[in-house]
Amino acid sequence: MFRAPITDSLELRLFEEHHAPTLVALIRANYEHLAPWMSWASPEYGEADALGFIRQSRDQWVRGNGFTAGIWHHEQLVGSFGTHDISHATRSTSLGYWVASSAQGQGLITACGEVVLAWCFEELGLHRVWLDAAEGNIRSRKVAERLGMVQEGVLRDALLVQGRWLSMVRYSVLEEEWRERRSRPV
Amino acid sequence: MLRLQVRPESWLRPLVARDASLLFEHVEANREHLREWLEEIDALADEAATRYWLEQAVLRAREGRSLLLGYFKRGMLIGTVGLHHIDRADASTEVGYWLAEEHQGQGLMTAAVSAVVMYVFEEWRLNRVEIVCPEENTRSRAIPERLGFVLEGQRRQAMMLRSWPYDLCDYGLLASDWVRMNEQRAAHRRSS
Repeated sequence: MFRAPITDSLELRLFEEHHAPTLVALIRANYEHLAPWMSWASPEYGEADALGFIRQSRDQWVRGNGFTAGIWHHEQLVGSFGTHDISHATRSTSLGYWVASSAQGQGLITACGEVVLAWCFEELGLHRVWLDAAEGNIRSRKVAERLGMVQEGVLRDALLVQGRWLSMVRYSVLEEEWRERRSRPV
Repeated sequence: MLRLQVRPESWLRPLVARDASLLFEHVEANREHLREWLEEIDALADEAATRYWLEQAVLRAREGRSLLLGYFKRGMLIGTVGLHHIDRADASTEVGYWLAEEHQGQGLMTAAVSAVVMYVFEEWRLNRVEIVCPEENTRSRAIPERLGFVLEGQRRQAMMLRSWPYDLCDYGLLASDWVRMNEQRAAHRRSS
């Protein structure tokens, strides 16, 4: 399969159609965890939704417009990590991710993010990578901060999720900041 | 980012439009070698034509009809493996490939085709993989033969190359053949 190893027990895997039932089960089991932040999370999330998402991920990937992959930890699907569209005009993209409640607090997303940022800047030659995290989603904001991203501003009432307006905090990292941070000893 | 690993230092990933200069350089360095059995390579005459050729490949990939993979060794493009005529209804596909001359003779392409065959059987749940080789292209034919493909037939004068007719050998491998071979290999490992 198409994969990117992150650590010994963690890797990103391209979604395949046969993952659909596993993805459905994971999203349904995590409905209450995801619903406050993700407009697509629904207790009725089904196989057709998953197949649509998987085919969209494949389309994005085969045309070289970034990727969306499953996060697999100890051979279990625990979430998703990907880039959104890549703008070649501005050499930029944004990141998106979610993880099951049972897999939180282990730095899995941050570990994936480090590898994805290296790919964005070194392989794709991008200049800017950004992400939006809901203002109240402290765990997501911490990921951006751990990845060395700078808070740029707050997009007020930018998303409507479950009938609730979410203000989104925009974070970004520029190529030179990423290189500078990477060259620093840890 | 996401790779189909072949060996520790070699992997496959889809080629996209921005790989045009990379692919063109590879083709230029191997043009005479590739031309011997692949007249289509003439279409990749310059970088712009190569970009167009890749864009067409990406369109077919988006429609699910084919998938063109670049074969990399230590970051260098050394060949391609393509999945063509992907047919989900009949659960079959055809694999095609080429390899830079200097990387021949190390089993590199056999390993890559083997990885792709495993991928389509296990991840796409296909049932049948075909490989078509000109009867006289012995290097190309050695790959399906090493991987246990069955020579199912020979089509007479089915390919014209520089206005000369060649017979084509049709090789086929079924998912059940693959499972059986893996079981035999595992049994062999246990007994040795």
